[in-house]
Amino acid sequence: MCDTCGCNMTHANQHLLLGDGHLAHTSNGSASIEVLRGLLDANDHQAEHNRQHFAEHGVLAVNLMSSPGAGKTALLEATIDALRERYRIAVIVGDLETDNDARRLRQHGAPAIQISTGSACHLDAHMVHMALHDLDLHDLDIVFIENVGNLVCPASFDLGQHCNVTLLSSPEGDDKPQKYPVMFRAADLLLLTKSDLTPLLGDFVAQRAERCLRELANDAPVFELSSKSGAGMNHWINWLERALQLERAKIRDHIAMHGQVAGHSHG
Amino acid sequence: MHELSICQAIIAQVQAIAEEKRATAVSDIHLRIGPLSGVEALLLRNAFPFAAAGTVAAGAALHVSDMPVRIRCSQCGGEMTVPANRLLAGPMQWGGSVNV
Repeated sequence: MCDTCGCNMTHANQHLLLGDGHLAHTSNGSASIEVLRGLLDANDHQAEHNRQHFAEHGVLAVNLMSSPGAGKTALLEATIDALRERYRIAVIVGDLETDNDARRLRQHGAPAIQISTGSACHLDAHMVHMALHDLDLHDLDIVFIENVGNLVCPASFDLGQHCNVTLLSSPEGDDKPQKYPVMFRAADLLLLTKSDLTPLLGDFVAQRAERCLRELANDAPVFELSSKSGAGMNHWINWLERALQLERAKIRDHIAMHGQVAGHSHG
Repeated sequence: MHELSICQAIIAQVQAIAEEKRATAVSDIHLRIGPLSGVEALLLRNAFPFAAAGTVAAGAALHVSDMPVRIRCSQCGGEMTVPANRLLAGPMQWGGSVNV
């Protein structure tokens, strides 16, 4: 125990040190205040606001995360093509530079809002909120947020999405969940992409990737697919439709109980 | 790489508290960070002076303590500390279901 790092403050004695406790103020008048809030309080607050905004319009928001080049944009192209007749889809795309991905997605008929993050390695809730001002949610069923390609930083920032989908492409290797536990723990669904390359590689074992995920105490479903050949796409499409139904059912229940989705003011 | 934005978030919280308490300076900030937060203590320490410059927290000492990952078996209630990427591994027979 020392007097410098705070380790001398325990559950038992903290009432003496906090608030009006008689040890709360030092001789020179300084005081110690325990905050017990997340470091990303402001981001989380904004994320909650975004989530409510999506809910008010019955829109499912899906955050796609992966390393660069794992096939997020290719997956979205194939997904938009598969669902265009049934659902109205838009994409918010984050990249350090260029609007290449947004242009690719627009060619498939989906509105795509590009966020250029400059040097920022992730999207945060405020950036997504800004992008939402350019998107009319009345006309939409699903909004995909294509995060910056990065297996580290995006995992720490809630954007207001309803679910996280993490992509792991076969050339990256099946041990990635073990190496990037924060990212893979956050996944509500793991997609093993570029399955058309798996036979060529010879050393990517889907079961091994799944085992690494399970060791993170994550029981999210795992699907293998290839956006290029279309193999396995049906599992992903079914999952997505079910996620949309579940979200809408949640909103209906909420409205039945409370009359409306908790309103929010727009600043 | 995202540690600078986290520092800015810390400073925003500290500023709000300092204003509320009418404090004119902040001398020490203590943080507890777990390995599953995705926040690196070392990078945070390096970024902190830049985020704090010109604020009420300028010159404050940042103390970061690393927290372990603790899991509790939802069947037997046993607890243990585990590495961040092996939440279900260990000498005990976890039924595959744990609380982190």
